[in-house]
Amino acid sequence: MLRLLDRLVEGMAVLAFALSSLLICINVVNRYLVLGLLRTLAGDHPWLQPFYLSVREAFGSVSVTADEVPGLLLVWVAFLGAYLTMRRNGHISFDLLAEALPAPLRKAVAMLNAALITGFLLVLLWQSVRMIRVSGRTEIETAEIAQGWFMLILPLAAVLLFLALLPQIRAALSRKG
Amino acid sequence: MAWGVLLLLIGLIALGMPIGFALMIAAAIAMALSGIDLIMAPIQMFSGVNRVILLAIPLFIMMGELMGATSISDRIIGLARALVGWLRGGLSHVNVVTSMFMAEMSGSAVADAAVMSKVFVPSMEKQGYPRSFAAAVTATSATLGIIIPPSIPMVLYGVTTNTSIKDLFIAGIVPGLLLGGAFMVTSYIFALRENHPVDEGFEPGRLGHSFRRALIPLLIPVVVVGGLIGGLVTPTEAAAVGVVAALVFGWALQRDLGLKRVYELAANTVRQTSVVMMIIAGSAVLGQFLANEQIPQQIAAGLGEITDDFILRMLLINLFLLALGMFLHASAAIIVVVPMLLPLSREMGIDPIHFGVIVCLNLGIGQQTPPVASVLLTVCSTTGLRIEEVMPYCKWFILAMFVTLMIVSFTPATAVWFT
Repeated sequence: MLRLLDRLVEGMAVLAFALSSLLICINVVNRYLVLGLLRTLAGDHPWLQPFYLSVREAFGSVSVTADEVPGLLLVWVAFLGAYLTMRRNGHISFDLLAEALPAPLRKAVAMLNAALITGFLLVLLWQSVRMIRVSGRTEIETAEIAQGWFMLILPLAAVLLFLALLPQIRAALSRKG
Repeated sequence: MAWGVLLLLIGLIALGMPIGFALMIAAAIAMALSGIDLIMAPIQMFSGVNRVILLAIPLFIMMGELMGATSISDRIIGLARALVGWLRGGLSHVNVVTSMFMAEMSGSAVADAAVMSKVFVPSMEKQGYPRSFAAAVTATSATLGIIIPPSIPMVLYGVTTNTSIKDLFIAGIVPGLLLGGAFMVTSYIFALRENHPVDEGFEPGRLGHSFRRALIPLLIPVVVVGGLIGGLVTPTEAAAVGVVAALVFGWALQRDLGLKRVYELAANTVRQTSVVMMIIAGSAVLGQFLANEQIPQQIAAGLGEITDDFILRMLLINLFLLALGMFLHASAAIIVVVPMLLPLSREMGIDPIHFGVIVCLNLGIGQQTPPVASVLLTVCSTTGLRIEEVMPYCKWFILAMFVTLMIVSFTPATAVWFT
């Protein structure tokens, strides 16, 4: 079940990353190719004018969001990626001291860490829902999209990270000592 | 209160909690105890990561991943062999020069080390080099990845301290070349002492051929860093251009990459990015709290009170960063600790750009020194060697890094001359 979720989350994260990268690229293309090269060409060759205007319209409407939306999508990339990394136990930690502890104590420390993270994820879930209710309806500056859609990642991440934590808790519990 | 929160943070990290979560939990507890509405936690986390400039990090990672997955490394090695393979200890120099070129394409030393150790350690062993020596050269020269632009730690430093990433990249060039030179001198001394072989004789024809093969891959970082330095693109845009160029090279020109492979590399990039972003999200919450309590200023004052002497203070900062690098990963150290040192460096009159290079060099040494030693451990795990087997050679390369660090620390011109 979690493997299916992994693939779904991975797909969403890659899509968000691809979209944000695409927006950045469109901004560069718009600045140098459309508003630079194509405009000069259209100035020299009037028959290119309609083509230039339609391309400028298309790129301009997307490009205007490039200063804001990629950052918002990065939040999705970051927190969906955090779930994927948590599934592989890959977040940066300093394990040397914990690993040097005797087995029963190590198990207790692992459980304490899991309990603290679970507690924090509950707080995050509750507070991020509050955040969306308070300011989620406000539209972002460069498009008519409520910022709550982007903020949705935080409660979603709280649930996903808890799901990723469960196998680790189970592993810690089943460890001998 | 604030000091208690810092102690709690250190305690959580010492107990093996992921650093990003340790930061978030310490901050949440501090907020709850101070009566601050906990809604600020998700707000700070969200706004801490929601910055377009930070997108440069996954894009530079992706660029490195794409370059590593294509035939680019073979072409670069070919060029490095033709350039310096004729020196005594040829393959050691080829290893260092390849790392210098690869550093231009990837901002991550760990990624460089993983690729280079698979290529160089077996081929150096075949030519009679001790395996542990080959591993030591590979591990230490991979550190060039975070000094020579583009560098992910420098992007993080720039974002954390509000310093120009463009200037940081320029500032990394001379120290990177100095460091590469120091590695080559060290390799040469070993080559004379242990009679290491020459790789292949110098032939201008082969050099020309290798250069032509490596030209397009070498142009990619030139376009990326050149566009940034020339003010044509922002760091994020430069990284995006690099990704597109690497995609065009690997996908269309060389047919090294398929869609499935690109997807896998993107998924890998997302995972690596999230590791850094969780620390950024956590430090955004805790950083605000600590800043309100003026903790960075107190730490700077405390360190500053130890001595007034500039040289001693500089040595103290370096010692502190070296010790930090032994225990914390570079990204975590930059995001969490550098803001606390910045007031002291400002008070000492150190240029923030120069300080950024000093920080990266120190943390580069930390990547080679246990217990964390992320780069050295990567090479050890690829080669199946133990740290204590590599250390007899590695320590001399670390010494070369330390000498370079001292030169850069006390000669600001090495970093800021061209900025």
